[in-house]
Amino acid sequence: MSALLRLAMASLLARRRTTGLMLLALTLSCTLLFGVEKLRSELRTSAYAAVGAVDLIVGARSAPEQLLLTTVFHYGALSTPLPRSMEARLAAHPAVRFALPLSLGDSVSGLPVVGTVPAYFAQLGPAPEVPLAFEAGRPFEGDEEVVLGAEAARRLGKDLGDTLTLSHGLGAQSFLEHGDHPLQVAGILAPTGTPLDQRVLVSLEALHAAHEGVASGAPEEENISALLLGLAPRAAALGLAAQLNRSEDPPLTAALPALTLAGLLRWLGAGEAILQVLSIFVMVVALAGMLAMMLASLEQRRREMAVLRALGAGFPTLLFLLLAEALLLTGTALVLGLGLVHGSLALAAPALQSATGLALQDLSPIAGEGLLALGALALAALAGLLPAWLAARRALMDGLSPHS
Amino acid sequence: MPTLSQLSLRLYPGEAVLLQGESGQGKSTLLSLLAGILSPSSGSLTVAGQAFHALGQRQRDRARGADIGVIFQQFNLLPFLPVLDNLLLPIRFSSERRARLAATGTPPEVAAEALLSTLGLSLKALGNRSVGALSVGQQQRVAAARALLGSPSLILADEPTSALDPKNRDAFLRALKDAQAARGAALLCVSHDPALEPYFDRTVTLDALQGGAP
Repeated sequence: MSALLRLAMASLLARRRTTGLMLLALTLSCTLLFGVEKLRSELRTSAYAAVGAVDLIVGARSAPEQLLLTTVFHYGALSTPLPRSMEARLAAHPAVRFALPLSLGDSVSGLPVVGTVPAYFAQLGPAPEVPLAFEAGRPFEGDEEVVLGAEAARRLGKDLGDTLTLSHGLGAQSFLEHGDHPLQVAGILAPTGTPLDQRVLVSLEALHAAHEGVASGAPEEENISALLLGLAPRAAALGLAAQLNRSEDPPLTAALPALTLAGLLRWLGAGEAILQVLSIFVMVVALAGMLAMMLASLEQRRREMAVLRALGAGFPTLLFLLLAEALLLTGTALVLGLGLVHGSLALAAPALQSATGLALQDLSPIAGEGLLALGALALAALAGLLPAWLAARRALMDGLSPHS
Repeated sequence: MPTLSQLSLRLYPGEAVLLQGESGQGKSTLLSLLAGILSPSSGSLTVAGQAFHALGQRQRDRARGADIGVIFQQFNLLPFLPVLDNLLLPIRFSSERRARLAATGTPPEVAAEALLSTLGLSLKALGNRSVGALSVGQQQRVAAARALLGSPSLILADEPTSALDPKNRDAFLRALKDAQAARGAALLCVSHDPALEPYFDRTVTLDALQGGAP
């Protein structure tokens, strides 16, 4: 068997040019196939990681999707504020482990600012009861300090002790600068691979102070954007959400983040499915190319088959030899494709994170890739079967030596 | 494909026989039968002690690999393998040939090199040259060496000299005949060329064979 494999390999290598081109086409299609699958699963994992320990998101009445996108992925804005008094009311509920107020809507050089309380750092770590890790410094205290996400610190070029000022509104160029209220960097968070990395966190008081400095009229009443709740037991989320969604004083929306995210991803799934089907089609086209190449080479390989036949090779041996060529080509392409996907993802991960806030965390091969590889090999065997069968069949008909 | 009937032919170990006849008479069909690629529709065919008429295709393929060496008119060698790998192919394909060679105690590479030098070629001079760089005469000698490696009992040659000039033809046939006789293998060479007769122990024609004479 191994002698036959070596023979198949030598034959492929002798036809360097066509083999090389075929390998290129197969490798690129494998890369597409694996790339789509990998991004699909990685973005899902990262999106769920961004939700973290939050069991319920409560805001003024809006769509749950809007609530989730704004608070977790800082996409869009919430139009109706929530009175700060809701924090105490919800914290008093027996199932509520923590209630963290969020005040959104400001930015620093395009990075979203989150007004919250110091408990945020204690509660929203990678696991329940595990606080967020700091690369340097500590949580903010009072209204003159700020904590930066890892990516935010890098982009702003700020270090511990540096000062920065907030701008009202989102976007890189904001008209209003809260220039007279500088904040000092008290801490920088370790990278989390979630949108938190791009955030600027301050106390509600600091936000309030900044706004008072700008506002000319009556002092603002204390409002927040939303509340993040952690529950014990976590299963209480469904009942509490139903209860809050019925509330009309004030009208509330409570979103279960994991459930809402699942709904959003299901909706996105249609687009993903199209990409996946497309990548499978590209793979099929590449395999059809391989089939065409093998069929075209059969005539010039009749001599080769006759020699092998004279040496005692029977129908099964010739079939195996040609099938092995198809599988060797495809197998090599699969390995190269996997390498390309993982290599380029590792290279592209930082860019992807600054664009989306999502980090590709685990770049090791996944089960889905194994299934795809097996499927591709099965297709290749199927595609290789036709030329293999034709060649072996003809070699038998040719007798001892082919008559050209 | 021409039909052969009432055909009788017997070859003895160490004997070299020329089968002469015009093309289209069925010489190729006879070779395919002897090589076990075709099966006779009736009668008996025994090659190297094996009753080919009673064996299935797979068993005949195996017997061919073990006991028969084939030399084609040309294009005997796989162009993508170096000379030595081409030479060693029968040993890779047939465990019987491998075992016979192992019994002599000579490593396959050494045996191949020795065979080549009986045929007037030096493996060292050919080196790792690709098959395409060899002259036709050299290729035919490598093919003859390959057919003989592992001591098969029958060598079938199909117009082995038709691509050679007279000088090369002479040298090739002498070398082949010597190597075959020294190993005790029977050689059946098919050719339309009467000039080959002097190199062989006897010459037969298809007409004569079909007449029933042995």
